[in-house]
Amino acid sequence: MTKEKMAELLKLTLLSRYDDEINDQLVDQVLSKTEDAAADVVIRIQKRFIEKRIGQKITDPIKTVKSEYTFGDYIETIRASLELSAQDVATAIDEQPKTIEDLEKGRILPWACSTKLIGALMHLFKLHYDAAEKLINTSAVVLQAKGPIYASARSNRGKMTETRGNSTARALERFLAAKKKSEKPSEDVSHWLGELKGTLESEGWSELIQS
Amino acid sequence: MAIERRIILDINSEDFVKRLKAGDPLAFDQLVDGVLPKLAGFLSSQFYEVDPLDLEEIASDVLLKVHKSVIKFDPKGKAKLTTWIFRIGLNATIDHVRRLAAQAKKAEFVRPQFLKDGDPDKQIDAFDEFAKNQWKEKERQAAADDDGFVSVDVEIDAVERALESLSLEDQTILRLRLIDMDYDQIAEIEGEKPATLRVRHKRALEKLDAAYSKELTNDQRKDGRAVEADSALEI
Repeated sequence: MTKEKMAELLKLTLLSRYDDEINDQLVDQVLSKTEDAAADVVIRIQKRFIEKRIGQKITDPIKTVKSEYTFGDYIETIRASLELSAQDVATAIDEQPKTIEDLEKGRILPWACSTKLIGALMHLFKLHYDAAEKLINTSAVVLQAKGPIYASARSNRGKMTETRGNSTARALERFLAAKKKSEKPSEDVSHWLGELKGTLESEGWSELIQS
Repeated sequence: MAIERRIILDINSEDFVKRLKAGDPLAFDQLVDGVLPKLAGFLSSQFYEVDPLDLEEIASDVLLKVHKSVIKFDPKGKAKLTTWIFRIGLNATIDHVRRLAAQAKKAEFVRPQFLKDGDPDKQIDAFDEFAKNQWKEKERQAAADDDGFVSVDVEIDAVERALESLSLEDQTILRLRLIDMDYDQIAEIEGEKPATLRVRHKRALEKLDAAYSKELTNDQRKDGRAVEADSALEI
Protein backbone atom coordinates (compact mmCIF):
# COMPACT_ATOMS: atom_id res chain seq x y z
CA MET A 1 0.00 0.00 0.00
CA THR A 2 1.27 3.49 -0.80
CA LYS A 3 2.19 5.90 1.98
CA GLU A 4 -0.53 8.30 0.82
CA LYS A 5 -3.23 5.62 0.93
CA MET A 6 -2.17 4.54 4.43
CA ALA A 7 -2.08 8.16 5.57
CA GLU A 8 -5.59 8.66 4.23
CA LEU A 9 -6.86 5.51 5.96
CA LEU A 10 -5.23 6.54 9.21
CA LYS A 11 -6.89 9.91 8.97
CA LEU A 12 -10.25 8.27 8.34
CA THR A 13 -9.72 5.95 11.28
CA LEU A 14 -8.42 8.36 13.86
CA LEU A 15 -10.13 11.55 12.78
CA SER A 16 -13.73 11.81 11.69
CA ARG A 17 -14.07 11.90 7.93
CA TYR A 18 -14.87 15.30 6.47
CA ASP A 19 -13.88 16.91 9.75
CA ASP A 20 -12.73 19.99 7.94
CA GLU A 21 -15.76 20.31 5.72
CA ILE A 22 -18.48 19.58 8.26
CA ASN A 23 -17.91 21.96 11.13
CA ASP A 24 -20.18 23.50 13.74
CA GLN A 25 -20.77 26.64 11.74
CA LEU A 26 -21.89 24.76 8.64
CA VAL A 27 -24.18 22.42 10.56
CA ASP A 28 -25.78 25.35 12.40
CA GLN A 29 -26.42 26.96 9.03
CA VAL A 30 -27.87 23.73 7.67
CA LEU A 31 -30.12 23.37 10.70
CA SER A 32 -31.44 26.87 10.26
CA LYS A 33 -31.73 26.86 6.45
CA THR A 34 -32.41 23.32 5.23
CA GLU A 35 -36.03 22.48 4.76
CA ASP A 36 -37.32 19.75 7.01
CA ALA A 37 -37.99 16.42 5.37
CA ALA A 38 -41.69 15.65 4.93
CA ALA A 39 -43.43 14.45 8.09
CA ASP A 40 -44.30 11.04 6.61
CA VAL A 41 -40.63 10.49 5.69
CA VAL A 42 -39.52 11.38 9.23
CA ILE A 43 -42.07 8.99 10.73
CA ARG A 44 -41.02 6.14 8.43
CA ILE A 45 -37.37 6.66 9.45
CA GLN A 46 -38.30 6.69 13.13
CA LYS A 47 -40.29 3.48 12.68
CA ARG A 48 -37.38 1.71 10.98
CA PHE A 49 -35.03 2.92 13.71
CA ILE A 50 -37.29 1.58 16.46
CA GLU A 51 -37.78 -1.73 14.63
CA LYS A 52 -34.01 -2.06 14.22
CA ARG A 53 -33.38 -1.31 17.89
CA ILE A 54 -35.83 -3.99 18.94
CA GLY A 55 -34.52 -6.37 16.27
CA GLN A 56 -31.02 -6.09 17.71
CA LYS A 57 -32.23 -7.32 21.10
CA ILE A 58 -35.07 -9.69 20.20
CA THR A 59 -34.32 -11.98 17.30
CA ASP A 60 -36.84 -14.81 17.75
CA PRO A 61 -40.49 -14.76 18.82
CA ILE A 62 -40.90 -14.79 22.60
CA LYS A 63 -42.98 -17.80 23.58
CA THR A 64 -42.67 -17.93 27.36
CA VAL A 65 -43.51 -15.21 29.87
CA LYS A 66 -43.76 -15.03 33.64
CA SER A 67 -47.20 -16.03 34.91
CA GLU A 68 -47.60 -12.96 37.14
CA TYR A 69 -47.43 -10.52 34.25
CA THR A 70 -50.56 -8.98 32.79
CA PHE A 71 -50.42 -7.92 29.17
CA GLY A 72 -49.98 -4.25 30.06
CA ASP A 73 -47.38 -5.04 32.67
CA TYR A 74 -45.39 -7.07 30.16
CA ILE A 75 -45.48 -4.38 27.47
CA GLU A 76 -44.30 -1.74 29.93
CA THR A 77 -41.53 -3.96 31.27
CA ILE A 78 -40.17 -4.97 27.88
CA ARG A 79 -40.45 -1.42 26.56
CA ALA A 80 -38.51 -0.05 29.52
CA SER A 81 -35.88 -2.78 29.25
CA LEU A 82 -35.31 -1.76 25.62
CA GLU A 83 -35.02 1.90 26.73
CA LEU A 84 -37.95 2.90 24.53
CA SER A 85 -40.50 5.54 25.47
CA ALA A 86 -44.26 5.10 25.10
CA GLN A 87 -43.96 7.70 22.35
CA ASP A 88 -41.48 5.44 20.47
CA VAL A 89 -43.85 2.50 20.65
CA ALA A 90 -46.78 4.67 19.60
CA THR A 91 -44.82 5.99 16.60
CA ALA A 92 -43.82 2.49 15.55
CA ILE A 93 -47.41 1.24 15.41
CA ASP A 94 -49.24 4.45 14.38
CA GLU A 95 -50.97 4.90 17.73
CA GLN A 96 -51.37 7.62 20.33
CA PRO A 97 -48.86 7.51 23.23
CA LYS A 98 -51.75 7.80 25.67
CA THR A 99 -53.27 4.57 24.36
CA ILE A 100 -49.98 2.76 25.00
CA GLU A 101 -49.72 4.23 28.51
CA ASP A 102 -53.35 3.37 29.30
CA LEU A 103 -52.83 -0.18 28.08
CA GLU A 104 -49.68 -0.53 30.17
CA LYS A 105 -51.35 0.79 33.32
CA GLY A 106 -54.41 -1.38 32.86
CA ARG A 107 -56.69 1.60 32.27
CA ILE A 108 -57.57 -0.02 28.95
CA LEU A 109 -57.86 -3.78 28.76
CA PRO A 110 -56.32 -5.60 25.80
CA TRP A 111 -59.60 -7.15 24.63
CA ALA A 112 -61.20 -3.70 24.63
CA CYS A 113 -58.68 -2.71 21.95
CA SER A 114 -58.77 -3.68 18.31
CA THR A 115 -57.01 -6.93 17.51
CA LYS A 116 -55.05 -4.94 14.93
CA LEU A 117 -53.53 -2.74 17.67
CA ILE A 118 -52.62 -5.66 19.93
CA GLY A 119 -51.34 -7.61 16.91
CA ALA A 120 -49.14 -4.66 15.92
CA LEU A 121 -47.71 -4.52 19.45
CA MET A 122 -47.06 -8.27 19.38
CA HIS A 123 -45.36 -7.93 16.00
CA LEU A 124 -43.24 -5.01 17.21
CA PHE A 125 -42.01 -6.88 20.29
CA LYS A 126 -42.00 -10.31 18.57
CA LEU A 127 -44.44 -11.65 21.14
CA HIS A 128 -45.72 -15.10 20.17
CA TYR A 129 -49.45 -15.80 20.33
CA ASP A 130 -48.98 -18.46 23.06
CA ALA A 131 -47.28 -15.90 25.31
CA ALA A 132 -49.81 -13.17 24.50
CA GLU A 133 -52.69 -15.54 25.27
CA LYS A 134 -51.16 -16.29 28.66
CA LEU A 135 -50.67 -12.59 29.43
CA ILE A 136 -54.19 -11.69 28.35
CA ASN A 137 -55.67 -14.52 30.42
CA THR A 138 -53.74 -13.20 33.43
CA SER A 139 -55.14 -9.72 32.73
CA ALA A 140 -58.65 -11.22 32.69
CA VAL A 141 -58.15 -13.15 35.94
CA VAL A 142 -56.67 -10.11 37.71
CA LEU A 143 -59.61 -8.00 36.57
CA GLN A 144 -62.09 -10.57 37.92
CA ALA A 145 -60.27 -10.67 41.26
CA LYS A 146 -59.84 -6.96 41.88
CA GLY A 147 -62.73 -5.50 39.96
CA PRO A 148 -62.42 -2.28 38.01
CA ILE A 149 -60.85 -0.34 40.93
CA TYR A 150 -57.60 1.54 40.64
CA ALA A 151 -55.24 1.50 43.59
CA SER A 152 -53.86 4.72 44.95
CA ALA A 153 -51.16 5.35 47.49
CA ARG A 154 -50.24 7.88 50.07
CA SER A 155 -46.84 9.45 50.19
CA ASN A 156 -45.03 10.25 53.42
CA ARG A 157 -46.98 13.41 54.04
CA GLY A 158 -50.34 12.22 52.91
CA LYS A 159 -50.03 13.43 49.32
CA MET A 160 -51.10 10.96 46.68
CA THR A 161 -48.91 10.66 43.63
CA GLU A 162 -49.64 8.99 40.32
CA THR A 163 -46.32 7.16 40.37
CA ARG A 164 -46.97 5.67 43.79
CA GLY A 165 -50.52 4.86 42.78
CA ASN A 166 -49.33 3.04 39.68
CA SER A 167 -46.69 1.22 41.62
CA THR A 168 -49.21 0.07 44.22
CA ALA A 169 -51.64 -1.01 41.52
CA ARG A 170 -48.86 -3.02 39.87
CA ALA A 171 -47.98 -4.69 43.17
CA LEU A 172 -51.62 -5.56 43.75
CA GLU A 173 -51.94 -7.01 40.26
CA ARG A 174 -48.87 -9.16 40.70
CA PHE A 175 -50.15 -10.38 44.06
CA LEU A 176 -53.51 -11.30 42.52
CA ALA A 177 -51.85 -12.90 39.51
CA ALA A 178 -49.62 -14.99 41.77
CA LYS A 179 -52.63 -16.11 43.81
CA LYS A 180 -54.84 -16.78 40.81
CA LYS A 181 -56.39 -20.17 40.34
CA SER A 182 -56.44 -21.69 36.89
CA GLU A 183 -59.65 -20.11 35.78
CA LYS A 184 -60.89 -19.99 32.25
CA PRO A 185 -61.29 -16.53 30.78
CA SER A 186 -64.77 -15.34 29.90
CA GLU A 187 -66.35 -16.27 26.59
CA ASP A 188 -65.87 -12.71 25.35
CA VAL A 189 -62.11 -12.83 25.96
CA SER A 190 -61.83 -16.29 24.38
CA HIS A 191 -63.72 -15.08 21.34
CA TRP A 192 -61.50 -12.00 21.11
CA LEU A 193 -58.38 -14.19 21.31
CA GLY A 194 -59.69 -16.17 18.34
CA GLU A 195 -60.06 -12.93 16.40
CA LEU A 196 -56.54 -11.91 17.41
CA LYS A 197 -55.18 -15.11 15.92
CA GLY A 198 -57.11 -14.36 12.73
CA THR A 199 -55.58 -10.88 12.57
CA LEU A 200 -52.05 -12.27 12.96
CA GLU A 201 -52.75 -14.69 10.12
CA SER A 202 -54.26 -12.05 7.83
CA GLU A 203 -51.32 -9.68 8.49
CA GLY A 204 -48.93 -12.46 7.46
CA TRP A 205 -47.19 -12.66 10.86
CA SER A 206 -47.15 -16.45 10.80
CA GLU A 207 -43.97 -16.61 12.92
CA LEU A 208 -46.08 -15.39 15.84
CA ILE A 209 -48.52 -18.29 15.52
CA GLN A 210 -46.40 -21.24 14.48
CA SER A 211 -45.56 -23.59 17.32
CA MET B 1 -36.46 30.76 14.05
CA ALA B 2 -36.29 31.46 17.76
CA ILE B 3 -37.62 28.01 18.51
CA GLU B 4 -35.08 26.43 16.16
CA ARG B 5 -32.24 28.28 17.86
CA ARG B 6 -33.44 27.09 21.26
CA ILE B 7 -33.59 23.49 20.05
CA ILE B 8 -30.02 23.67 18.71
CA LEU B 9 -28.78 25.17 21.96
CA ASP B 10 -30.56 22.62 24.15
CA ILE B 11 -29.41 19.63 22.15
CA ASN B 12 -25.81 20.74 22.31
CA SER B 13 -25.84 21.61 25.99
CA GLU B 14 -23.77 19.56 28.42
CA ASP B 15 -26.82 18.74 30.52
CA PHE B 16 -28.66 17.36 27.53
CA VAL B 17 -25.68 15.25 26.45
CA LYS B 18 -25.44 13.94 30.01
CA ARG B 19 -29.06 12.80 29.83
CA LEU B 20 -28.40 11.10 26.51
CA LYS B 21 -25.34 9.33 27.84
CA ALA B 22 -27.34 8.14 30.84
CA GLY B 23 -29.74 6.41 28.42
CA ASP B 24 -32.72 8.69 29.06
CA PRO B 25 -35.25 7.58 26.38
CA LEU B 26 -37.07 10.93 26.50
CA ALA B 27 -33.82 12.78 25.78
CA PHE B 28 -33.22 10.58 22.77
CA ASP B 29 -36.78 11.27 21.56
CA GLN B 30 -36.05 14.99 21.86
CA LEU B 31 -32.83 14.56 19.93
CA VAL B 32 -34.60 12.67 17.15
CA ASP B 33 -37.41 15.24 17.02
CA GLY B 34 -34.91 18.10 16.87
CA VAL B 35 -32.39 16.70 14.41
CA LEU B 36 -34.00 14.04 12.22
CA PRO B 37 -36.21 16.28 10.02
CA LYS B 38 -33.18 18.46 9.21
CA LEU B 39 -30.81 15.54 8.75
CA ALA B 40 -33.21 13.74 6.40
CA GLY B 41 -33.86 17.01 4.54
CA PHE B 42 -30.12 17.64 4.28
CA LEU B 43 -29.32 14.16 2.95
CA SER B 44 -32.09 14.25 0.34
CA SER B 45 -31.00 17.71 -0.85
CA GLN B 46 -27.33 16.69 -1.10
CA PHE B 47 -27.83 13.17 -2.51
CA TYR B 48 -30.82 13.58 -4.80
CA GLU B 49 -29.48 10.82 -7.10
CA VAL B 50 -29.84 8.25 -4.30
CA ASP B 51 -33.14 6.37 -4.02
CA PRO B 52 -35.21 8.16 -1.34
CA LEU B 53 -36.04 4.82 0.29
CA ASP B 54 -32.32 4.05 0.56
CA LEU B 55 -31.80 7.44 2.20
CA GLU B 56 -34.53 6.62 4.74
CA GLU B 57 -32.78 3.34 5.49
CA ILE B 58 -29.45 5.16 5.88
CA ALA B 59 -31.01 7.76 8.18
CA SER B 60 -32.44 5.02 10.41
CA ASP B 61 -28.99 3.40 10.52
CA VAL B 62 -27.50 6.78 11.46
CA LEU B 63 -29.92 7.04 14.39
CA LEU B 64 -28.92 3.53 15.42
CA LYS B 65 -25.23 4.46 15.32
CA VAL B 66 -25.87 7.66 17.26
CA HIS B 67 -27.89 5.77 19.87
CA LYS B 68 -25.13 3.18 20.25
CA SER B 69 -22.18 5.58 20.23
CA VAL B 70 -23.50 8.67 21.99
CA ILE B 71 -21.99 7.35 25.20
CA LYS B 72 -18.55 7.94 23.62
CA PHE B 73 -19.35 11.49 22.52
CA ASP B 74 -17.26 14.10 24.29
CA PRO B 75 -19.29 17.30 24.84
CA LYS B 76 -16.04 19.15 25.55
CA GLY B 77 -14.48 17.95 22.30
CA LYS B 78 -13.99 19.80 19.03
CA ALA B 79 -17.49 19.46 17.59
CA LYS B 80 -21.03 19.96 18.80
CA LEU B 81 -23.34 16.97 19.10
CA THR B 82 -25.33 18.10 16.05
CA THR B 83 -22.12 18.36 13.98
CA TRP B 84 -21.06 14.89 15.10
CA ILE B 85 -24.44 13.47 13.99
CA PHE B 86 -24.29 15.18 10.61
CA ARG B 87 -20.83 13.78 10.01
CA ILE B 88 -22.07 10.26 10.75
CA GLY B 89 -24.94 10.84 8.31
CA LEU B 90 -22.68 12.16 5.59
CA ASN B 91 -20.12 9.38 5.96
CA ALA B 92 -22.81 6.70 5.91
CA THR B 93 -24.38 8.11 2.75
CA ILE B 94 -21.05 8.47 0.95
CA ASP B 95 -20.21 4.86 1.81
CA HIS B 96 -23.59 3.82 0.40
CA VAL B 97 -22.95 5.70 -2.86
CA ARG B 98 -19.51 4.12 -3.19
CA ARG B 99 -20.97 0.66 -2.58
CA LEU B 100 -23.65 1.24 -5.22
CA ALA B 101 -21.10 2.42 -7.74
CA ALA B 102 -18.98 -0.69 -7.15
CA GLN B 103 -21.99 -3.01 -7.45
CA ALA B 104 -23.09 -1.35 -10.67
CA LYS B 105 -19.61 -1.93 -12.09
CA LYS B 106 -19.74 -5.63 -11.23
CA ALA B 107 -23.29 -6.13 -12.46
CA GLU B 108 -22.65 -5.33 -16.10
CA PHE B 109 -24.81 -7.75 -18.00
CA VAL B 110 -24.29 -9.02 -21.56
CA ARG B 111 -27.40 -10.08 -23.47
CA PRO B 112 -26.91 -13.74 -24.44
CA GLN B 113 -27.33 -14.97 -28.00
CA PHE B 114 -30.10 -17.53 -27.21
CA LEU B 115 -32.50 -14.75 -26.24
CA LYS B 116 -32.25 -13.29 -29.70
CA ASP B 117 -33.79 -16.32 -31.44
CA GLY B 118 -35.24 -19.80 -30.78
CA ASP B 119 -38.60 -21.00 -29.44
CA PRO B 120 -39.97 -19.43 -26.22
CA ASP B 121 -40.13 -22.68 -24.14
CA LYS B 122 -36.53 -23.48 -24.80
CA GLN B 123 -35.62 -19.89 -24.11
CA ILE B 124 -37.04 -20.13 -20.58
CA ASP B 125 -35.08 -23.31 -19.73
CA ALA B 126 -31.97 -21.94 -21.34
CA PHE B 127 -32.35 -18.66 -19.51
CA ASP B 128 -32.60 -20.45 -16.14
CA GLU B 129 -29.41 -22.31 -16.90
CA PHE B 130 -27.73 -19.15 -18.15
CA ALA B 131 -28.77 -17.14 -15.10
CA LYS B 132 -27.41 -19.83 -12.78
CA ASN B 133 -24.06 -19.90 -14.59
CA GLN B 134 -23.95 -16.13 -14.86
CA TRP B 135 -24.42 -15.80 -11.11
CA LYS B 136 -21.69 -18.32 -10.36
CA GLU B 137 -19.40 -16.54 -12.79
CA LYS B 138 -20.08 -13.20 -11.15
CA GLU B 139 -19.25 -14.62 -7.73
CA ARG B 140 -16.05 -16.15 -9.09
CA GLN B 141 -15.03 -12.90 -10.72
CA ALA B 142 -15.76 -10.93 -7.61
CA ALA B 143 -13.62 -13.29 -5.54
CA ALA B 144 -10.79 -13.24 -8.06
CA ASP B 145 -10.86 -9.49 -8.63
CA ASP B 146 -7.82 -8.07 -6.87
CA ASP B 147 -9.07 -4.55 -7.38
CA GLY B 148 -12.47 -5.51 -5.91
CA PHE B 149 -14.25 -2.96 -3.81
CA VAL B 150 -13.51 -3.05 -0.12
CA SER B 151 -15.84 -0.80 1.81
CA VAL B 152 -14.32 2.04 3.77
CA ASP B 153 -15.89 0.62 6.91
CA VAL B 154 -14.04 -2.67 6.41
CA GLU B 155 -10.77 -0.83 5.76
CA ILE B 156 -11.21 1.34 8.83
CA ASP B 157 -12.01 -1.69 10.99
CA ALA B 158 -8.82 -3.35 9.77
CA VAL B 159 -6.73 -0.22 10.44
CA GLU B 160 -8.22 0.06 13.93
CA ARG B 161 -7.27 -3.52 14.76
CA ALA B 162 -3.84 -3.07 13.16
CA LEU B 163 -3.23 0.05 15.27
CA GLU B 164 -4.15 -1.79 18.45
CA SER B 165 -1.56 -4.43 17.68
CA LEU B 166 1.25 -1.81 17.64
CA SER B 167 3.22 -0.69 20.69
CA LEU B 168 2.03 2.41 22.54
CA GLU B 169 5.11 4.34 21.32
CA ASP B 170 4.33 3.51 17.70
CA GLN B 171 0.67 4.45 18.13
CA THR B 172 1.61 7.75 19.76
CA ILE B 173 3.96 8.89 17.03
CA LEU B 174 1.43 8.00 14.34
CA ARG B 175 -1.25 10.01 16.11
CA LEU B 176 0.99 13.01 16.72
CA ARG B 177 2.15 13.13 13.11
CA LEU B 178 -1.45 12.84 11.98
CA ILE B 179 -2.40 16.07 13.70
CA ASP B 180 0.43 17.75 11.81
CA MET B 181 2.92 18.05 14.65
CA ASP B 182 6.42 18.25 13.23
CA TYR B 183 9.34 16.16 14.51
CA ASP B 184 10.78 19.08 16.49
CA GLN B 185 7.53 19.54 18.40
CA ILE B 186 7.22 15.80 19.05
CA ALA B 187 10.84 15.72 20.16
CA GLU B 188 10.00 18.17 22.94
CA ILE B 189 7.22 15.92 24.20
CA GLU B 190 8.97 12.60 23.78
CA GLY B 191 12.45 13.70 24.80
CA GLU B 192 14.00 12.14 21.69
CA LYS B 193 16.02 13.56 18.81
CA PRO B 194 13.95 14.58 15.76
CA ALA B 195 16.02 12.29 13.53
CA THR B 196 15.27 9.32 15.80
CA LEU B 197 11.58 10.15 15.71
CA ARG B 198 11.63 10.36 11.93
CA VAL B 199 13.01 6.80 11.76
CA ARG B 200 10.56 5.61 14.41
CA HIS B 201 7.65 7.10 12.47
CA LYS B 202 8.76 5.41 9.24
CA ARG B 203 9.04 2.05 11.00
CA ALA B 204 5.68 2.50 12.72
CA LEU B 205 4.07 3.11 9.34
CA GLU B 206 5.70 -0.03 7.92
CA LYS B 207 4.51 -2.10 10.89
CA LEU B 208 1.03 -0.66 10.52
CA ASP B 209 0.96 -1.49 6.82
CA ALA B 210 2.01 -5.09 7.52
CA ALA B 211 -0.52 -5.49 10.35
CA TYR B 212 -3.25 -3.94 8.19
CA SER B 213 -2.60 -6.37 5.32
CA LYS B 214 -2.74 -9.25 7.77
CA GLU B 215 -6.07 -8.05 9.23
CA LEU B 216 -7.56 -7.55 5.78
CA THR B 217 -6.46 -11.04 4.68
CA ASN B 218 -8.03 -12.51 7.83
CA ASP B 219 -11.28 -10.69 7.04
CA GLN B 220 -11.27 -12.03 3.49
CA ARG B 221 -10.57 -15.57 4.74
CA LYS B 222 -13.50 -15.29 7.13
CA ASP B 223 -15.71 -14.06 4.26
CA GLY B 224 -14.48 -16.96 2.14
CA ARG B 225 -15.41 -19.43 4.87
CA ALA B 226 -18.84 -17.81 5.13
CA VAL B 227 -19.40 -18.20 1.37
CA GLU B 228 -18.29 -21.85 1.55
CA ALA B 229 -20.66 -22.48 4.46
CA ASP B 230 -23.55 -20.87 2.53
CA SER B 231 -22.80 -23.02 -0.51
CA ALA B 232 -22.77 -26.16 1.64
CA LEU B 233 -26.18 -25.26 3.02
CA GLU B 234 -27.61 -24.81 -0.48
CA ILE B 235 -26.45 -28.33 -1.45
